[in-house]
This record gives sequence, C-alpha cells and structure tokens, in this order.
Amino acid sequence: MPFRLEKRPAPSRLMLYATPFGALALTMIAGALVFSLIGYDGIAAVQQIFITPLTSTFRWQDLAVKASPLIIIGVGLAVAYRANVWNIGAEGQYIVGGLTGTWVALATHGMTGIWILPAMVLAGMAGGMAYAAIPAFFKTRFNVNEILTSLMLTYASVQLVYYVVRGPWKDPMGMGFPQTRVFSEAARIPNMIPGTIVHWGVPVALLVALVVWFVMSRSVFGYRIKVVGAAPKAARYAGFSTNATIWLALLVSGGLAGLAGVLEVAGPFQRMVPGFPTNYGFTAIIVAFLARLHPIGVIFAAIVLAVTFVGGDLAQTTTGLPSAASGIFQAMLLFFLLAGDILVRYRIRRISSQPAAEVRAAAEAQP
Amino acid sequence: MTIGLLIAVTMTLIVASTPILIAALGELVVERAGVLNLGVEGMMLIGAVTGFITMFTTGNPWLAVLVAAIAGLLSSLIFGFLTLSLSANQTATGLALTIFGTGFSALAGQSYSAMPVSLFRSVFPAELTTHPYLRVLFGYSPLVYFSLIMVFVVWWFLKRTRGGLILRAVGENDLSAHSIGYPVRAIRYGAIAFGGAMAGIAGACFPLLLTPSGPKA
Amino acid sequence: MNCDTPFRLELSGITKRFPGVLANDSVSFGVKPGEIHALLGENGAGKSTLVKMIYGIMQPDAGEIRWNGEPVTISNPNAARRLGIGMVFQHFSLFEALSVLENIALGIDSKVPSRELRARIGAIMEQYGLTLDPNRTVETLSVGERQRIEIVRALLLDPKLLIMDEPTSVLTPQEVEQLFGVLRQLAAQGCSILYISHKLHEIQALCDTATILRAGKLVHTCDPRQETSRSMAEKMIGAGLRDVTRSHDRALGEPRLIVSKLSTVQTDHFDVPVREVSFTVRAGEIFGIAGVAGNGQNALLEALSGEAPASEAGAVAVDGKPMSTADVSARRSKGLSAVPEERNGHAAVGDFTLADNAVLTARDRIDMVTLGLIGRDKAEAFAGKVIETFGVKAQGPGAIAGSLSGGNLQKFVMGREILQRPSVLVVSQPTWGVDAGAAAAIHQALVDLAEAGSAIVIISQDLDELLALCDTMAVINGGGCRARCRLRRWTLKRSAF
Repeated sequence: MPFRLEKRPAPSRLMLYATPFGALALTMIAGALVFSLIGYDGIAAVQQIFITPLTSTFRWQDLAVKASPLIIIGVGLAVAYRANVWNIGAEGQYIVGGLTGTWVALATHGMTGIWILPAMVLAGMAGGMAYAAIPAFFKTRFNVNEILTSLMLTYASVQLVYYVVRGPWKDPMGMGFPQTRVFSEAARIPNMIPGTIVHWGVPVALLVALVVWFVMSRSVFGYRIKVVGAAPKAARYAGFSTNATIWLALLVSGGLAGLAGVLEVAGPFQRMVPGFPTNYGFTAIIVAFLARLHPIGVIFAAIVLAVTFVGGDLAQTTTGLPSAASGIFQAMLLFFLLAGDILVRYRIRRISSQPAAEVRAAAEAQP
Repeated sequence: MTIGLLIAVTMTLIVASTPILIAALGELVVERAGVLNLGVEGMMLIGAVTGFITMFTTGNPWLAVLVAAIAGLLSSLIFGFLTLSLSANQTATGLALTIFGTGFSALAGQSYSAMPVSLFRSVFPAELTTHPYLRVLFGYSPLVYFSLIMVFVVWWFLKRTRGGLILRAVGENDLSAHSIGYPVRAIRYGAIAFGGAMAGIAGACFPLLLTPSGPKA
Repeated sequence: MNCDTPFRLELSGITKRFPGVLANDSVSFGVKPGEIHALLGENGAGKSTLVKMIYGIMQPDAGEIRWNGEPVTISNPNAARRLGIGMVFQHFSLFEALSVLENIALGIDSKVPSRELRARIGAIMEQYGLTLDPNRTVETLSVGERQRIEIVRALLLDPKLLIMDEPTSVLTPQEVEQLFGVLRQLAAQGCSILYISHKLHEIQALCDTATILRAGKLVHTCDPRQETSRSMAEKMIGAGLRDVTRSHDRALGEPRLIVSKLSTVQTDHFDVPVREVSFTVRAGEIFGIAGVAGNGQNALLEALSGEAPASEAGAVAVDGKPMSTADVSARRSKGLSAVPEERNGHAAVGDFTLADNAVLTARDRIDMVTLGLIGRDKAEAFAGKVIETFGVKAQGPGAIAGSLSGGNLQKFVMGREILQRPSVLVVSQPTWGVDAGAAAAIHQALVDLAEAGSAIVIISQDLDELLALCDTMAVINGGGCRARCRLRRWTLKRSAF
C-alpha cells in the first residue's frame, strides 16, 4: 500500500466539518451509480431525491414540517451523545410523549382554554422524560447498557400505541378504525402560515436548537456534559458526578423527544393512530451524527434528511423508484459519514520510501 | 384434545422462536468478541429477501439458506470494515446497517411481494412428521434442527475449544490480547462474519418457515 | 562473565518515530547469555517502546535486531516467543474473568491439554518456589499473584531472553526479594534478562550491565556496581541533580491540613484502600509521602480531593473547617486542591483547549461563572496567565491540551492549581515523566507556594525528589502511613523501601 494512516496530534476541525459534505456528495454519486446498475434512471433519482425538494418552493412547507421533529429530537440526542450516553430509544420517548400528550387531549376533550396546549406540551415532555428515566435508572443503579434498554423500550412503546388505539382510547364513533377521536380545537396546534401545513412546531424547533446551542456552548451545564463525555475521570476530578450527568443527558434527550412527539400528535396527526411511530426517533440519530453533535448543525442535517423523505416520495411518483430508496440513501449517507470519521483523527500519508524493516515485516506477515 | 392443543402450541412456539434463536446465537458470538452489532435486524432482512428470491427462482431451499447466509455475511462485513478498519462508532454503524437492510429488502423484494414459495421437505419419514404425538419431535423444518444443533456447537466452541477461549479473551480485554500477540481485529472480523451469516440464515427462516401458509402440519 | 561470549540479542541503530516524537534514536546495545541487563531511564525515555519492538508488538522504522548473531524480523509476539523471547508486562496482559489456567493457556502458542499444562505449571512453580492456584479467577488475585501468572506464562516457554518491564513497581519488598531470587536462578541457567526500571538501587542489587536511555538516545552503558547512584541518576536525567532554592530553617505556621483516622473503601485491584491515616501539615510545610506504587497512594489522593468517598470515620479538615462530607467542588472552593498523577484524562481533558481545561478546576476560585454561564474571556485570561507564569510551551490558551508534551501539560496543570493559591495542595507524582528542566520549574513553584504559606502534600515514589523538597516525610505501605520524621534527622537509607 502506497498510503498509510497516521494519527494526528489533535483532531482536525476542518475534517470534522468537511466530512459531512463529502459524505453527502459521495452518497449522491454512489446512489446514482447503484440505482443505474439495478435498472432505474440513477441520475434522475438522485435529482428527485436530493434536488427537487429544494428547488420547488411548493415543497418547502413539507420540508419544514418533516424537519421540525428531527431537529427537536436530534438536538436532544446531540446533548446525550456528547456526554457519551447512547440513547438509542428516542423513538420510544417520542411515542410516549405523543401518548401522554394525547391523554391530556382526550381528558380535556370538548373543553376550551389556552391552557390545554401548554398542558399537553408539558405532559408530552414529562412522558418522554419518564420513559428515558428507565434506562437512566438501570444504567446508574445496575450499570445496565443504556443502548439495549432504550432500544428495547422502543418496541414496548409501539405495542402500547397499538393497545390504546384498539382498546381504552379507541374512538367510539370511529367505525371500528383503531384510532382515537380527533382532538378538540383547543388541543390542536394552529397553523402558522394560512394555506400551508406549516404549524407552530416549526419555530419551536428552531428555538429549541438555538437555546440548546447557547446552553451547550456557554453554560456550566454544557461544559459538564462535554467533560463527562470526553474524559469521565477528569469530570469526577472537576466535581461533576457521572451518574447525575447520565440522568441529565437522558432526561434532556427524552424530554425533547417527548416534546417532538406531542407536537406531532397535536400538529400534523391531530389524533393518535397506529401509524404514529414514523421512525423520526431513529432518523434523528443520523441527524445528530451528520450534525457532528452540534445543535445548529442539527438544523441543517435535519433539513437534509427531510429532503430525502420528501424527495423519496417524489421519486416514487415520478420515476417509479420505491419509497424504500430513501432509506438506502440515508443508510449510505451514514455509512460514508462514519467512514469519513477516521480522517478527523488520522491523516493519510503517502509512504515515499518504505523503510526496509517494514517491507520485510510485510513479507513475513504472509508466510 | 388438550394434548393436541399443547402440541400445536409447542410447535408454533418452537417454529416462531427459531429465527430469533439463530440470530441471537450469531450475535452472542459477536458480543463475546467484544463487539455490539445493532445491525442484526438489517442483516436478517437482507437474508430474508435474498433467501426468498433464491427460493422463488431456483426452488431449492438449501441453496436459499446458503445464499441468505452469504448475503448476511457480506452485509456484516460492511459493519466490520467501518468499525474495525476505520474505527467508526459501533452503535451508529449498526443502526445504519439496520436502515440499509430495511431499505434493501423493501427495494429488492418489491416485485416478489405476495408470491408463494415451496418449503423445506422434512428430513423424517411422513409417519413421524404427521404422527399426532411424535410430530412434536419430528415435524419441523430442517432449520429448526439446525438451530438446536447450533446451540450446542456455539456452546462447545466457546467453552471447550482453544479458539473459543481466544475469542472470549479478545472480548474481555482486547489490549491484553493484542499485547500477547493475538490478531484482535482478524478475530473480531471472524466473529462479525459468523454473526452476519447466522443473521442471514435467521432471515431466511421467515419466508421458508413462517410464510402465511405456515409450517407443514 | 566472559567478555568474549557472543551476544544473544543485539540491537543496532534501532529507530522508532511517532508523530512529533523520536521515541528511539539509533539505539545499539547487546545482551549476552546469562546476563541480567538493565535498561534504565526516566519515564518517557523510550524504554517501553524499545522492548515492544524486541517483543514484536511494534516494528522499528530503521535498524536491525540480531538474535544469536542472525538478523531477524520480529513481526509479532508469536514470532518473538518462537525465538525464545518472553515478556512480563508492567500493566499486566491478563484477562480478569478467566481462570489462572486459561490465562496461562492463552500465553502459549500451541494447544496443550489442560492436564499436561497443569503438570507443567506445577513443575515450574516447584522449581522456582512460586505458588498459584490454577483454578482461581484472576479478578480475585492480588497484584503480586497476577505478576506470578505472567512469570509462569513466560517461563513455560523456556525463554532464552526474558523481558521484565518495571516489574517491581507494584510489589512489596518481600515480593521483590522473591522475584530477584527467581531472576538470579534463571540467569544462572543461562537465560538472559532485560530488566527495565528507573530504580537505581534495584539495578545495583541485581544487574550485571546497565544501558541508560535518555530522550530516546542511548547515553551510556556501564556496570552498575562500579557506579554510584548519583552518577547513574545524573546520566539518566542528563543534568546535575536539581537544586531547589529554599530557606531551610523557616518557621512553620499553624496547622492547615489535619487528617485524622482517614479510611477508604476498596475500589480497584491496582491500589489498596487507606486505613486510619493521620497526619498534620502546617502552613509553609511540605509533607512528603513516600512508598512503592499500589500501597494506597491513589486512594489517599482521591480521599483528600473528594473524588472518592471516605468511609465515615475519616476526617479531613482544612484551616479548622471539616471537609469529610464536602464534594470535590466544595473542597476546592474552601482551598483544598489536588493534582492526580495521570495528567491526560484525569487532571486535564486531552481533547479540550487549555482555556477549557482552566475551567475544569479554576471556575469557582477564579470566578469564571456568572449565572451558570462560563466567562470565556476570564478562562482564556487565566489560561494565558498560567502559560506565561510557568513557561508552558503552547500556542496560547486555544492550544489543544493533548498536543502538548507531557512536561508542558504537567506545568500547565500544576500552574493552574498553584495560581489559584490553594490553602492546601496535594500532588501525586508531580514530575512523573517530566524532563529535568520542567521538573526543576515545578519543584521551585511548589517551594514558593509553601513559602507563601500554603500547606503542601507530595505523594511520590521518587525519594530524591522528596528529600530535596520536604520538611517532613512519612512512608505509606499497605494503606497505612507510618514512620513519620522531620527531615533534618532523616538519613538516606534505601533499605527503608
């Protein structure tokens, strides 16, 4: 091999922020190639999936609505991952947040009052936090891997949705459909721009990202999260408790996922349906990684992923590309991004004159 | 009557747990080598769709299982390359593999949806497989017996062989294993490939074992 | 020893480069059969890198290794073992959840039936007077027993060259004696031993030849029994022994740190808890705690800093204020600061800038936080002040801590604590792996802090360092702290260790 990897003395900031763009470009190129090879018009597919949603102004409202939950959840996950707390169950916390919000909406059905929506939002966040508290408890108390507990709890929450919409919360007037009744006016998030589907959840998402960015970059709380993630022993030395930080990280990410859940159920859905789990919680993991765990980066990364969703739907109608294609593009994006990570800590060096010892070592390695 | 019901329930349980058992055995070895691959579900889906297509086009279930195993193995090597050779984050890579497998299976399986396939023929004579009582022992697809044999094989490998000891050592302390001179990365590649092949086979169980027509009674 | 015997192992021009460091610079020397050869040098001098290349864990960038006169390439540890090279690691290469037998089986390359292996282990243990239960799990064993596993594992291969990397750093004096017995017996049978250490008295007691490394270069090869400790130490350090200016007969003030019956609970296997330790340090006093690593030093430091909970009876008081229940931040605000021995990852975050590392411990005392927000200007100004005052070689407060050399990072860490003017400063191994210039600067800063009225506790394995700095000294052993004395009456007796 004429090249080798050499560890950099310090991580490269340039590579840290350049690799997401490189990964995006590679995904488009590889996607065009792969889909051409299997018999689709690859270039048209890439154009439909990545470009059209951005060029057609009519699609921007779709982007905004799809990106908002990704931003809210992604920002929370960015905080947790900074602390080295691997909350993989944001989908579950999003679902439970939606459910607790629904509970308030159903309990107040027919009532009016501006307090109903705030109450739902609080209930949603509390639900997400409570659901994230389960992995936090097991992690801090029994050192159980939070990746597995949070992931498995997601499956439990999906079953919970199926149960309530078929059982206790089923709409009595729903002609047997497994869904709750439509929320009252007071429990629905109003549209922000008339004539579009853009609701007040969109500015909330942007606000959340800005607030978290400020907190993470300026406050002792953000500093504490970063120290615990980067060097747990140094965190203890600095007087930051690891267990308390695990709790904080899971509560923040769970609370924000719950917020996204309640905003979705009270906004676009307006009722709880079995189709409520839409994998936003998992897609937000890609968002957080693509954003390099930076809250402002999450806004842009969420838009990129929203583009692939909207574009995937477009490509399905125009080029006959199956909707599964957007999943493949998302996976490729994450693969390329993760592969590119190595350039942050290592650089590629050309080996000009290979030392004799290494040649022999290489020769002996294959007896 | 109750005995008949009990037998039916037992058989359904055993058949339904087979794919999970096979995939879990594979992932068990991966985790013993100190790696967490969250892409099992993706690899199972890839195994399921490739196994199904092979079965549909060739009609040979053994070939279908083999192709599914190879497909699972190859997809696990994506994970191995990223996490071992490029030291990428295991959690995120496994998740990406699951998303990839979900998309891949939906794409590849699109034109085959709702197509019927033939199933494994039983390895035992019909008197045993259809016997009202003995079918609880003999009335399964070969994949079920494979899964049970693999339980023993994996146990024996991990507990009784030198290879298993080395694998456990690598999983327990990779730095020590490296300093004594074990090729940690190669051993982990091997474990991941085994996990991938097992996940692929597990995926193949779905079309070959759990299609709506169900296992042969 | 016969001078004409050919070398068993011979290195010529071995060079190894890491990014930013030349770890070994054209090192050449030879080891004869039956010779106990010391490889001597300070931490970071390149000893470990060199032996890792002999054992095949790393490959040299240039140079040649000859084994019994033949040039060889040792591409991995298996190849080294095939040649007859065995190694006992400083940080053991053991597997905690596995049994002694399994650990030994993993260290030999061929598959040996367990009954035969048991018999061979028994024979080796008998021959060298070692005791070990093959069925026990490693996690239940003491540090000394763990080292025995490594030794048995190496001896089973009937080595021609045994590499011992800092073998005594974790052993009790009795265990050291037993180890030396084994090594002498091996050498008498013709096995060469490459013995890595920075402890001069051990090398004089054990070794036939000493090769001294400094900053990656071979500086001298000598017969340690013909040298004095001082002459070898000066060659190892590369300068005359450091002289610190201080006024010796100054009066000590009021007691500032009072530790009475401090005990901790066991946390890991590489250190023991402290048991009922009591001492008092007065204003202006430098109190030294000497002892072999693994005798409770880490537990003591963490119990004083507040990182590890002390069991309830323990009492720590600073300036008359009880500290036992205060956490790390509260203790620091009240003037009790500590510096652990591990710089990167414990005393500092390698991926953070120096300014961010200043926030780690100085945020309260330097008043960097208002309403929960960190004042970045204040952090940068403070980091800049530390860099300037202590001559830290770095590109300003924005430099990444991990990119600094060990000595510079240590100067930054020490400076960060000293500039906060703590009432009590507890430091562990303040000059561990630091070059002579930086060490002298750190020592002077500690003395100056004491003269300004702080009470200082230095935990160190380096007796010379303690003798040069301390007013009072105690020895820690097995978690207990004993043999306290005023240093004016202290005479240098190595046998105390």
